[in-house]
Amino acid sequence: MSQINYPNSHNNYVKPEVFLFYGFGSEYVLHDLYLAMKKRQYPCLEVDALKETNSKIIIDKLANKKVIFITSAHFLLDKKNFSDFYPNNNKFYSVLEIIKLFKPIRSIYIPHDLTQPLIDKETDFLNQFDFFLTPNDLFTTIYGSYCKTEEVGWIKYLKNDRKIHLNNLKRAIWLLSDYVLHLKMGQEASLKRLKPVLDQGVSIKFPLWMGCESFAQYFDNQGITVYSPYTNSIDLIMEHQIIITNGLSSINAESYWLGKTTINIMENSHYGDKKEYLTELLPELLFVEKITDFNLSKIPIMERSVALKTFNMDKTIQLIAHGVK
Amino acid sequence: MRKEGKNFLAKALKRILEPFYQKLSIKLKADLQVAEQQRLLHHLIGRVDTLSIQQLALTNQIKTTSLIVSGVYNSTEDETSTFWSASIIYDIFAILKNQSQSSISVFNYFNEITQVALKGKSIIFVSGVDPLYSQIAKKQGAESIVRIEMNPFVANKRLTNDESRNEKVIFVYPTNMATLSYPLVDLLFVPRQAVASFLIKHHLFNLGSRVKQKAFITLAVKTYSVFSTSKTTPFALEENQSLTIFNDNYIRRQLHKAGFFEVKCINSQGIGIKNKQFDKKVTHLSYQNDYKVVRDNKLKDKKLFNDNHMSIKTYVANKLPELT
Repeated sequence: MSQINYPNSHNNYVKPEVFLFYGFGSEYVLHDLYLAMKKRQYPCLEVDALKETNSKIIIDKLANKKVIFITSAHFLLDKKNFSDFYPNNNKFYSVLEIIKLFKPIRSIYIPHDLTQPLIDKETDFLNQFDFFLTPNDLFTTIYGSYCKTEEVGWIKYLKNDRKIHLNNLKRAIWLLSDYVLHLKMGQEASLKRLKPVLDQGVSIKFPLWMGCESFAQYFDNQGITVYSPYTNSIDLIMEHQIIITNGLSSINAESYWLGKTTINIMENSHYGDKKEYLTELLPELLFVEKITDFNLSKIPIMERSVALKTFNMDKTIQLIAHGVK
Repeated sequence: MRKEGKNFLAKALKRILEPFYQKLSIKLKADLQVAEQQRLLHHLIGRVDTLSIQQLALTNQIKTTSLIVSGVYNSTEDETSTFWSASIIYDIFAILKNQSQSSISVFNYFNEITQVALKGKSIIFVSGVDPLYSQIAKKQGAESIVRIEMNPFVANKRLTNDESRNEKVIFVYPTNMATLSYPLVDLLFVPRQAVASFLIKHHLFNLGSRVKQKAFITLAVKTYSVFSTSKTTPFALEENQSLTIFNDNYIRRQLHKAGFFEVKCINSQGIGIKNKQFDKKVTHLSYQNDYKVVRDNKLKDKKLFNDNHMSIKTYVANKLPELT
């Protein structure tokens, strides 16, 4: 590696010893970035706090090192906050705890959710980051007063030269969210609940989360077309005309801004006080109140231009490693 | 003979008892008159009190109208209860009064109460602070100082940008705090209770998002509330002492909502308090219930503090959790 200067937030040049990529399960979206930087010989370490039962041990070893910290995780999710929503036995640090522990040379946030890059209460903590690398001009502008923002495109939308030809048959897929609800009810009850939609020839993909592989296998055994939880959601959106979502999932915005017909099924979905935000952000998003109300034959195929920007890998790496464009 | 004896007894009794009876009846009549007069007097006093209260209410309405017309106060709160509005107006009056502090208390604020390292830090002080705060901060190596002043009626030549102290002043009407943008700073100080009382009710407006490290805020608190988790009666107006007195749990909730992860009390002063750091309660921001208590207080003798006990407490709100 040639001599490279690494300015920190105070513009002093400090050479990092580790680039730490950190996140949780399906909310960890930095793997391709990690691979790209590793290929360019940057000293990279990737930690998925949901895969590692005790990621604290890995993190603790970095305590005295000079670290550039990149994360896609929710800032406030410490063990207690996380377990309130997703019961688990893992031991891990929250993003804020890591920042406190290392005082990183540079901290970068890349969101995993395109619909809500930041959730309630997180905005006030954005000033802990040196950069917020945003997917589009809207979020660059909105959050620009809290910390430095730079538009780099959507991290899951890598440049893809594949041309996908879709015929006139309606290919529909449900990219399911609020998965914890299904985890709690069990596979059999979950299938029974989703059957009215799936029986119309709709495929399904579960998010990459605890127990997802088992769920996928069960549904597959029942004759449902199931995609692997590891499949890139953008690829699946590109391969279907109609995308079904629920709740406040990132898929809503991904599908919508890729110009696809997007339907949000409201039954058992959680919106908090963000329903109005969702309709304001995505005005032509279709809503269906109940699962049994969904009728694929009556859903129009809408044609809209693609507003989603592909991920600029070079610009992102430049910002992470050098703090400048 | 017997008849003559009876007549003599009757005359003797009449001669002795009649004056006594007359004196007694006169006195009784006089007492009744006095009682009636007293009753009338009490009625008059009560009427005067009612008129005084009505006059006070009218005076407050006039003052409120003046404030609204001047642009200082513009109620946009959903909590439109009379009590809420009254407390906000009370805060604004207290802020405008701008009571001075002793130099020793200012000195002690940094050296004994907050004990925070200021070298290289950027700082915001909010409203009506003595210039000594900025002087001490500068002396201790603060990199930059911003003062937010909420007293629009002060035509004070002191309140100008002071380049020698690397100090900048921002003027704002109290209820317009949320409409201005402020610089990103390391530390926020709110040492004046009147100002803190106003800010805490509004979750510090958007100041929480401008603070990168810590905020220090000083308030009067019902001491018993540090030993409970109840948020009922969030605050009460103590007019005799010219103070708003808060529930500790309400303060913590508001600071977490303002955008701080961890809240601790670092100094308590008041009757019955021997150890200024006795309050060990630590709370962390929670997604589910505003906040969670991660370390609680254990009071051995709850009779030590009753509903009347009050303490002046300084809280530190940390952006990041203090790792143990």
